[in-house]
Amino acid sequence: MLAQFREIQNLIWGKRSWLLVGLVLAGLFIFAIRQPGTQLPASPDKSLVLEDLPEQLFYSWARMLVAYIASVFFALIIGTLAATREQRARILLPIVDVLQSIPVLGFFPTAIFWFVGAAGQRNWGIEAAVVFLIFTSQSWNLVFAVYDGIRAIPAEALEAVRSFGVGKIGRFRRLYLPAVFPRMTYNSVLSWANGWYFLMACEIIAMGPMSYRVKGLGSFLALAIDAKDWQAFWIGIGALISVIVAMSLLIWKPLNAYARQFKFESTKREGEYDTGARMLGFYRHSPLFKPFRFVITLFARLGQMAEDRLEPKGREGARASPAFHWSYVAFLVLFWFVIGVALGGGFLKLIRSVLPPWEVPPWTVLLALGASILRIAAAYFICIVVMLPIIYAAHKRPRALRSLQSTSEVLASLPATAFFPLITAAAQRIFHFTEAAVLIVLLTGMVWYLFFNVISGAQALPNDIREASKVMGLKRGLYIRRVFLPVILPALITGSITAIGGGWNALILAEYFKQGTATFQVFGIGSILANATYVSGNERLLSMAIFFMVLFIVFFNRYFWQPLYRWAENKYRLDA
Amino acid sequence: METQLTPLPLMELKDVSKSFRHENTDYMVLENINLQIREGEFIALVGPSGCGKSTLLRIINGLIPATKGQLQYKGKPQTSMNMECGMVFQAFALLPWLTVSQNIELALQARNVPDKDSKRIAAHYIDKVGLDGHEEAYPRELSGGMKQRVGFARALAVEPEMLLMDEPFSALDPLTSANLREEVLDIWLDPQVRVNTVIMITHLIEEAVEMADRVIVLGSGPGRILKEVTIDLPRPRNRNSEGFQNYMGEIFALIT
Repeated sequence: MLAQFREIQNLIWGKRSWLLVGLVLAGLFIFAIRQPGTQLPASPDKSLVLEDLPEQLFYSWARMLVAYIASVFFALIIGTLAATREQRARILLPIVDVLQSIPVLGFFPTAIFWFVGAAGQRNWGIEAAVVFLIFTSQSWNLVFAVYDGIRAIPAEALEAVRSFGVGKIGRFRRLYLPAVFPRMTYNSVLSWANGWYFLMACEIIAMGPMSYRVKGLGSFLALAIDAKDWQAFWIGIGALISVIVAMSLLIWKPLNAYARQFKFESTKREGEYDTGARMLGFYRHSPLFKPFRFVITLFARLGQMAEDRLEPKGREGARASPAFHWSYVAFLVLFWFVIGVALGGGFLKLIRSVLPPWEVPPWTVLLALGASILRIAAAYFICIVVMLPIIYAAHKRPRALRSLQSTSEVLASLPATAFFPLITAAAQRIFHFTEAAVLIVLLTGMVWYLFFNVISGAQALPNDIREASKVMGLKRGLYIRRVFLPVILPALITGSITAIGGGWNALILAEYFKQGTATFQVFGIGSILANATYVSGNERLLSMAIFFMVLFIVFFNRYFWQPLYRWAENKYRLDA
Repeated sequence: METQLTPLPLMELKDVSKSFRHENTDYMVLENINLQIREGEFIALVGPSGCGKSTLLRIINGLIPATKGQLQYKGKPQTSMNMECGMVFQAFALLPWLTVSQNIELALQARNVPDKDSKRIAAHYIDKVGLDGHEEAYPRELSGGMKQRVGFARALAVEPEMLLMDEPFSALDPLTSANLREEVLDIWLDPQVRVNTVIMITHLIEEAVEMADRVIVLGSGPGRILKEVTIDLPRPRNRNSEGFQNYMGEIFALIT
């Protein structure tokens, strides 16, 4: 049985990786013959009714929840597959990396084609498309959380589990799942924040003159901005903030406290879990939550049953039952088929988009890319200049650092997009300059990633090194050069990569924005994308712009950030 | 000829107490510590974990302020960091991104020693702790014992009057720590090395009796001095001698 299994794995993987090539070709074929052009149904008439707000808020929240649950499953599957076999990681991680650098507009055609097309203009198709778009802003970072979490399991723990003969399901349930739990919880907050950030963009599906607004907070806010109804706008923002704060208190804090028991390293920061632990105790004991507890126990039971049934244990440890074995194999084949189809299709589309005839020539797009790069670089340096002194000032007091961190986490979870009309109006009034507004919007999409990455880097400064610097009497300049900057450098680079990624995603909102009835835009890749989506509905231009942008991001990451990170991590890690 | 009959202690602690505040409750860590440290002495602080011996050491060099009481250094009140102290840490506290030499030079640069001199001084102390040839190595390339030698060299290089050691041998394997203990005693007795007053924290009674002139036994809850035991044995000390065993027994009885 095992031998057969190996064979299939080798078939897919080993030297005969032509199977993958075949799958890609099949994907190319499917996309080559597909029918273009799905029409969006007419958008129902929308007027701004304040009484609808609770309903709209609920719709948006429910969409986010569905997209989030899908993201969690997606992340667990992709992350686990990638982390448990190196060849898989080598294919899957670059794909996810590319996908996360595609701004949400890039998924519009896909969403319209697959979901609206499949549903034949019925409402659920549009809903599914919106959920899919939210999913694209939530899922990628969770994949990396799962992958990193599993890779961070100490070798000894893995060996111990192996030596007890625990099977695949058992390992997943008892080792991988707990090991990724803390990171998943932490990154989930980021995922939700990112989801809220792009909610307004996601809830208005558009391709050229066609556009469809679904009922929800995002479209509510967009309508309020269009109508310049500031009262409705502020009430909407207030409702959103209450939801975010409530979720933080009722869900994320208790989950964080719960996640603590799954951490391999035992770093306890005082008072960190207090609020969460209290809520957790309430959930555990209050009769109000009995049904929830029942569901959780049920899931645990089901897992145990699956493990017992599908991987019966004998003296030599767990053996997969034939049913499980073959369904696993079938799953893998299907999985790679889907990946192949999607890859092939996407690849073909991108290649076709760069070939002539052009409506907008590639050099214009490249020039726009250059303009956007300059903007992102400028915003990045502003972030650094503002952030480093603040963190330096705070880092000598663990408590100040901790409150700075929680503040930045809260601020990061508030979607700055919602405030864009205000930010842009203010920036234009103060600077009389659209470019300034663009930069500020970009900043909001970048700064928080830098902030909490670097803060966690500064928190890693060991206490004895802090004391040793004091005993040596290091003066500020020497201390910054020899201790502070080296300590934060790896985290600074990680933060830079994510921040710049966030910047690319925010470009579409920064370079093209509306203020009442007026539209402001500056020349750049973001405004090309927004125009291709909202104005001309030019899918080929959209693809071409994404092609160049992704190409640049991937190359820049691969040949600049990654070598830099490896160097920094090697030289400046703190384990000596 | 002048003789000082009652020499001024190098350092004196008078009724020093320390409490920490956590969630509106004060926790007493150290209570009414009275201690005189004379020049040239080797003092060991022993006590169960949680008795505040680390805190006491940090109060002595000024890393942590005392809540109550007074510290005097050479007869003058000490209110801030005492720059006449060198400190050796349990987990070495070396900067992993600096070489052995750079780690030591850093301490000298902090005192505005010109670069050329600090290189020379660093080389001298690297040699003294037996690490010559490893100047350009990074800490992670060294064994634990070698890392702690760097820690010693760094503390000695600034030529302090007092050397404070926070469980300096406890992260090392028994053989390495035995060798290093001996060398530390040699360095302490070396007339060329300026430092001649040493305060060491340890949780090994044997280590304390082997090395110290005076053992300060601390008790916990809150931390206070139970007894000062003067170890009146000739050096080098034989662990199997009757005197040694008697001191061990006495201190052991105090702690347990």
